[in-house]
Amino acid sequence: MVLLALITISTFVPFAILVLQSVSGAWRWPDVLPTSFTMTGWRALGQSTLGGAAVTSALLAVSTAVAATALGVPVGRSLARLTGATRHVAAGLVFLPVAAPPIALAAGLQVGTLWLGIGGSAVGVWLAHCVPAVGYVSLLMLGVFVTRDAADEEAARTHGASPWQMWRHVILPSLRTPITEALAIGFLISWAQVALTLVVGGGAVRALPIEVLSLVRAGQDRDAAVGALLLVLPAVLALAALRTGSRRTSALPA
Amino acid sequence: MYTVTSTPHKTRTQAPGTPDNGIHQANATPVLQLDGLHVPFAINERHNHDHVTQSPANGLHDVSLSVAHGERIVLLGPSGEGKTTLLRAVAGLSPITGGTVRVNGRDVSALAAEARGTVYLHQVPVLFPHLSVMDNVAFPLTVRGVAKSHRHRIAQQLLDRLGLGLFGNRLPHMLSGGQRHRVALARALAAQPHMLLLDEPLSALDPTLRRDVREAIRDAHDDSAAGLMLVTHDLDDATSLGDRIAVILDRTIAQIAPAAELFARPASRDVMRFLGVHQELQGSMRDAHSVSTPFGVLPLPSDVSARLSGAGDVTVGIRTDAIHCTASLDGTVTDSAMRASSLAPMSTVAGTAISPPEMPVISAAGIVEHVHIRASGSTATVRAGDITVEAGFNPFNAPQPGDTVALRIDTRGIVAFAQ
Repeated sequence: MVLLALITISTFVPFAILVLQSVSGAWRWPDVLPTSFTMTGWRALGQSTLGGAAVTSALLAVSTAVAATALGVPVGRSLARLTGATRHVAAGLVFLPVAAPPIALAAGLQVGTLWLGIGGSAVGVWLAHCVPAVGYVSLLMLGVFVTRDAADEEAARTHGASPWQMWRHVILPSLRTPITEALAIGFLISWAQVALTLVVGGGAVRALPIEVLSLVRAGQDRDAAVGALLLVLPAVLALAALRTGSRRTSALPA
Repeated sequence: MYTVTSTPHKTRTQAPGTPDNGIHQANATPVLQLDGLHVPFAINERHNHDHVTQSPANGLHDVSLSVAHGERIVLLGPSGEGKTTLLRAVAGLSPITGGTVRVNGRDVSALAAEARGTVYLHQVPVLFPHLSVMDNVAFPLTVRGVAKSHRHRIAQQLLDRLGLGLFGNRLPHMLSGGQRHRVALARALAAQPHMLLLDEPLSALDPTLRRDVREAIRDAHDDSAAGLMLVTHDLDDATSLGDRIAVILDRTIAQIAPAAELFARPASRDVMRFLGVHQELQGSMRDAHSVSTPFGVLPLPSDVSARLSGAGDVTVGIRTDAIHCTASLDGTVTDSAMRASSLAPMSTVAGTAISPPEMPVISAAGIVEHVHIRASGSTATVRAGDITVEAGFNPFNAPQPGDTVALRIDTRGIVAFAQ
């Protein structure tokens, strides 16, 4: 019970502080609560750098999610079709960008994107985001395909479906929930990315986490709190969507 | 124009005669022709992926057979002999390492599953859970680009035919087991395959459902020109559904024949033992036409004796349903006669009042040890000297354990194989 209370406090207190901070007019130590409140930070969102950064981050995250899912689903299926040590080695390679410290990955990708001539650009950052996102999604889909009975694929083929038709009519509809999860994970990986955006983007790509970092460094606590809450919002929405999706699908027998 | 077709010429009643072991039947245009097929077994536990490691040394070998239009072939054999593997190889779901698969005269050995004109049905019906029953049945038409209204009309016809006309809007999980089988069959028919391949559709079903699905298979196939190949372990299913039965032993086809012929004349001792409907005795050839056994001298049918010229010791099989026991044989069986004669045949009776004149019968005596009452084909275990046999009896005059009975053997049910 105590443990549960501690977890609850550690989960919610930081966000509660962010909410208060974002609407605080004045909040000085040692006051427990702000002494005045204002919506200035939220009202100025459209005009501040946060709005543009949020749009940039959203575009990056959506395109990363789509690309990572489009690549991760077939990669995960291919991994599942491997056997023995080959599968373990291949899965390890796919997961390496996820397991490696982000800053190490960023350093390597910076060289690569500069070599490709896309360093410091949104395209370069998007490509960099895709690397860990594809790894995560591939491993997610590996788990899905390993446990999935392929009999329906055989049934589709033997009833005349081409490989493309099999994907379209059978595999993809049956993977609606995992694909939703993959999109959410791909989105969140990109949305929260600091190291890759900072290093590969070279400060030229002003995504939301970079803006929040700048505001924190500059001591603009209220604007930083607004930006931080914007960063949290998609995670909450994604969790809610996944919860709804899993509840809906779990009502259907396999 | 896409329509549900039926064949005007049924060939089922023309099930071909089976010279030799029937593997190569003469048929102008077989719907399926397998020639010298070699199929490796998958050694990975994941049964249904063509990417698993294959083991050529342990696969099916030299499999040859042909299936006529509208004909039903049942693959029968012990577990692990490759019945399912053969079915999957024909469907293009398992690779082959030799031989050819021809469907309607076209070599499809190298074609993908979707291009072969065959439909493979899994043991447990695999319906697409996100599609309605109607859309499941219409699936083969959907992938062919048939217009929605037309494909739904065809699917409805098929559902009507299989007694599911009111179930089109349901999802698969709302169906019973038997209904799922019927939907799978309707979908298979919608594909208008040349060959229907059914992998143990009746196993693991309770008796009622088994009857239901068996009937559904007949319903589905009766008006179809497609050939049908079905895997089963069950002799009753095999005999009730198959125009011919292919027995697979030692990873190849040991014999193909109509059920009556298969049981009357198994091609080898192994086939006889697998079928399990013969009582086995050891004997030796007495002359060209008879064999000495613990039951005495048994006459051999001429086609059996023809294969045994020069043979010495033989294994003799007597069909269980060719052995009957009666409480007495016209009063000729007595305790003293039993004691005196023991195993010796009491007499050779031909043309008695009990048997029609053309039925050659030999008789011996024995003592009933157990009586097994079954829904059909009740038998008694009868000991005659050192020999124990299962014998049928008149259910209205069942013997009791300890009774002395006469064993009557229809000699047409005797086969023998050189050792």
